[in-house]
Amino acid sequence: MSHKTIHGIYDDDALLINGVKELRSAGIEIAEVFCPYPVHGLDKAFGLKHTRLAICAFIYALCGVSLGAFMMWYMNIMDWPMNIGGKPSFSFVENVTAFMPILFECGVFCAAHGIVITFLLRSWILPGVSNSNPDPRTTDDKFLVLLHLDEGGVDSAASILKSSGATEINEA
Amino acid sequence: MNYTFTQREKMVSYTLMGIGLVAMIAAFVMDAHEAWANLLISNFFFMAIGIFSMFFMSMQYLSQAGYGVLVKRIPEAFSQYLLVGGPLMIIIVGLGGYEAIYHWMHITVEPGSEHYDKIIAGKAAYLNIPFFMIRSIIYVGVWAWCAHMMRKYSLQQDLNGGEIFHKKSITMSVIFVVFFAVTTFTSSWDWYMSIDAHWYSTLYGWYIFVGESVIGIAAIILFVLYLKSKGMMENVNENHIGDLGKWMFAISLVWSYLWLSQFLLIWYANIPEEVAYYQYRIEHYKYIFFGMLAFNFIAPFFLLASRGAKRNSKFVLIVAVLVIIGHYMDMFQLITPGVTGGPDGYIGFVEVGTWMGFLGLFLFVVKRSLAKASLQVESHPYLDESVHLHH
Repeated sequence: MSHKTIHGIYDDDALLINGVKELRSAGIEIAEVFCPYPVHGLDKAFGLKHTRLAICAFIYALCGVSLGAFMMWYMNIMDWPMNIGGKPSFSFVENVTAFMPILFECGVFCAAHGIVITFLLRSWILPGVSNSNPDPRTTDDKFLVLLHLDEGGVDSAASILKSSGATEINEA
Repeated sequence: MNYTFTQREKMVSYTLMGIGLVAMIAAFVMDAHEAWANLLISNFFFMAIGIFSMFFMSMQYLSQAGYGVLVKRIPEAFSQYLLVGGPLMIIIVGLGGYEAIYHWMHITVEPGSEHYDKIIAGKAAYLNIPFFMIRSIIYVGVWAWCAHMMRKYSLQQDLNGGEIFHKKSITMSVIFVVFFAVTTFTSSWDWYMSIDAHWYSTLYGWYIFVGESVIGIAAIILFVLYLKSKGMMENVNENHIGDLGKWMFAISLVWSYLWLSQFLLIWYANIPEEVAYYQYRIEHYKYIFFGMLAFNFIAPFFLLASRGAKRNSKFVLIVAVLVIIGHYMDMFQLITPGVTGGPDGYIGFVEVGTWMGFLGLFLFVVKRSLAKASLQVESHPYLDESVHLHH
């Protein structure tokens, strides 16, 4: 049994959402949807899982804060004890208030860079990687539903696409 | 669906007020300074909820936001406390202020007298009793008037529908927000910062405003959850709780930011007349002063950081209770050290009892006005949007 890839193309986002809902209620798994802009409510209709990028951001921020704390401890307490406004030197805890802005900035720096890099790696958008967009018109005004189907499922999927208002159904 | 203020709940309110009365009498017998300080803290606490509720509603009118329309009756009822707490505030800062709270009221501005104080004499153009009383009356007068009018327009909109009263509410919101922008600062300087009249901080107004906001949003959340647990407000779901949770998370972090900003600069600069304020608190009120950071910063930050937690009633409930405890501690350390003048302040029966008395009064006022109208507004241009809110 061979697999087929179907592109259902819509030119209206309301029709797209209805089409996606009908496909899912018929038990057809949707591989991907390509849109020119974020369509409100599509993620739920299409069953997309909520992003876990926020958890990464939290972990990166913790790393950043630890790194910042180590840096400030090494620079201003250990290696070259700094006189901070006449406060007792040689103590991280008694000078930590002065380090707060730096700890915060290190947290933000690592979280921001970390999630951007994670996002690029996870979505595989890197220099030299070829474009995975199946139809360039989805960057203009068309919405594309990508389906990976078995041979037998093509007809029923096509009829659902057609009845829900898809303007084109292409096999790739 | 309507809320009814049952006889049993009235009894709870009366009991709380009774406890408060006993605590106040005990406090006045023991130490009048402490008693007046507690009255100021407790009334400040519940005025804060009313003030923030007005701000919360006005902001939504001005930004044309739909998310809060379903819970609008709760801040509306909270704002009615301003009509009761306002006059009480005048009595507390006037009578109690002269008796116990503000030592600058007993300073003479002519040099040579034994009551002369150079620093306070320099501030006398602003800090003098007649001007202070006039300002206080204007603040609470305009706040209470705005609260009354907003409530009136909202009830009339329920009866008549249409958009006339919505537009009037927007106008009232503009008036309130502009007036509030100035008076939230001046009132906090007058009522709270002038307790330590030798000391000042340019961040103080922000700090108080944000502290008030945390209490306000926590109170709104607690009331929403309370009414939901009684099977009312059936249209409120995790999306609305999530929005209120975001508010509490964000405002708690703003509070932490401002706390640190104020502390960091004074600590760093180390100017004697500025650090005296913090030095006293760190020496004598160490556990309250640093303990409140656990309630007001660490708890909301770590418990509410994730999206799921903000939408989970249990998490939001726990954090709301924690920040209320934390901000009571904050207000305690703002007011008590300066008023009692002693290092032996602690949160005991008198403190909690007075607060409970005001809680009883607050619940009585709020529940009475909640019972007067349907819990969900009947007519509002964004009502439908609020019902179908989803993220």
